[in-house]
Amino acid sequence: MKASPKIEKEVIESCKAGDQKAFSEIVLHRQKKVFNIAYRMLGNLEEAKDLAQEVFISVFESIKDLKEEIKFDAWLTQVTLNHCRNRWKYLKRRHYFNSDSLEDPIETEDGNMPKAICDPSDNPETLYEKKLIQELIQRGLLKLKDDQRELLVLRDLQGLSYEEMGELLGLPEGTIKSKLHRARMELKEVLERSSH
Amino acid sequence: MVCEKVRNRFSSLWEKELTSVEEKEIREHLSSCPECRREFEQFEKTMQWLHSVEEVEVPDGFLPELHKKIEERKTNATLGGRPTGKWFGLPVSVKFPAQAVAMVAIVFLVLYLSKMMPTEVYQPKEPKQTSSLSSPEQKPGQVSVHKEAEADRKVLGKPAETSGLKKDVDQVATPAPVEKRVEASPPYMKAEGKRRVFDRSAEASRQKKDVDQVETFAPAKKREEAPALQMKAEAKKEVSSPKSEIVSRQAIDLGEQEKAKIASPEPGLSGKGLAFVAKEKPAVTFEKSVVTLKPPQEIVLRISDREKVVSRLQELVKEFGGEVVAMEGNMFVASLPTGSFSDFEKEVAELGSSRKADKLVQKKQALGSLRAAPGMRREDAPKPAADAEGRLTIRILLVQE
Repeated sequence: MKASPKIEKEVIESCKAGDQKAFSEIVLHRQKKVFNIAYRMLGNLEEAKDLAQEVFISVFESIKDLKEEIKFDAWLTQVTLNHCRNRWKYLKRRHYFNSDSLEDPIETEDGNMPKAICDPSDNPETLYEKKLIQELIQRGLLKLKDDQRELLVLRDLQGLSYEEMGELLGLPEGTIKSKLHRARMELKEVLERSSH
Repeated sequence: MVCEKVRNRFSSLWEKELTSVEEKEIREHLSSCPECRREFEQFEKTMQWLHSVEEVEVPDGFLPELHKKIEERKTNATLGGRPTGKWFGLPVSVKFPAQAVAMVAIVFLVLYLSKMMPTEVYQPKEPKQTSSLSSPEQKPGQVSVHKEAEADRKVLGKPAETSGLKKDVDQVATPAPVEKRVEASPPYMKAEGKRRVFDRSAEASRQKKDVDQVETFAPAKKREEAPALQMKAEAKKEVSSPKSEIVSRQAIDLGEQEKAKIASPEPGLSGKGLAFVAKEKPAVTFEKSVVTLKPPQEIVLRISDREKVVSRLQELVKEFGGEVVAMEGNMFVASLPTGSFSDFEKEVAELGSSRKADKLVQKKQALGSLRAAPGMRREDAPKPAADAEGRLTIRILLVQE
């Protein structure tokens, strides 16, 4: 995963002083990261966009409370995860995800039949397969527990180090590693179950 | 190596975090265990897929929409649309104590109000009850208390009130004749005027006292038993008495009033006497004083020879079993038995030099009475004022032609 360009300390300070331009610069630099975390955590583009905007509104309102500018990225990720957790709970209460399951039957002309999960490795060159893999992974992620999904998104999709993750989640690296491994194995199980 | 232990190292193996020795041991197990090998292949594939996931592009218009949302929030915050949200956003540790304090405050407030309300409603009534107690129906014991209070007030009365009274008296249209009457009263009446009271109960007690002291003021005794609210009406009824053919004091026209005023020897005393009346309730109490002081019957007699008429009047009074109470200037006051009044009246009318003029005056009075009487019931029609012993006070105003 391509690392986001580092935001200058001066920009953050200007933003803290209420500079709209500096805020826009921060948004432009970090919108993709925030939006992608939101999308992988929620699995819906519209929800992800709305959530990402809420995250930046929170940043705009509370950046003055940020004491160490150097930790801006960790702070931004933390704000994003908090919003994602709250939104996930909110959507879950409204059974938002119930109708979108890997086990859900797909209605065809011949009637209902289980959704076929093809192995993308059979034909890796096709774009369709690539898209299929992305969709497969996204559905698998949504089948995991919140904390497991968080770990996979942060480590395997966002490329955070164990140190950063430990700081962010307030857990020792060993715990992060073991939890992450269980999350990966769980995702493997989910994908296997869905392909059979 | 046990399969479970090998499978737990899949992530470390895939991320190449294991030492060469550990990696060798695991690879050896995988080559010998088909189950673990298949598991690792699946794990490797999942990790490949996971890492093949590409970033999603941010939708167009993300930043402008964001700015728009921020502006909307600012507007809502300015309009006060956010305070409720702030309250709901507060932690329970803050909200709960605040709600508890509010509840306790409400309970205390309700208790306080429930205790205070009856008192607050009752308090304004107290003065009313006091005033009602001091009505003419008050018991003699209570009346005597008021008499004492009245005496104190008289002592504390300021001379400045006299001028204020005069002003009040002039402003009231109805009491004008009364003022003149008081001014034209003989000395003993003026003395009574000085003792005028501003309390109704005291007024009633005073009336009783007057009856005891001066027989000619007996009619007031009946009124002290009447309810306070009917006092005014009674005064009007008396003025419009259909039985009386003689010009009553209230019927005297303004010109005659002026004459009487000139004839009055001590015009200032009446004002002073009414000062206390005007101080508290000028209109109501003043009318009451009218009732109290009003002589029962008055006759205006137009004469040419004063000495002759006066001597004749004295004879007539003696003849009808009465007595001369006072005679001063143009005012002749006598006390007569009620039964002999009509005859005495005729005799007095004969003394007048201009009967025609008197009749005109009487006619005028009769019309005035009719005008004043419309709402009056027949049985309420005033009778000639008489005391308990059947005596009547007659005042004769001698007008020189």
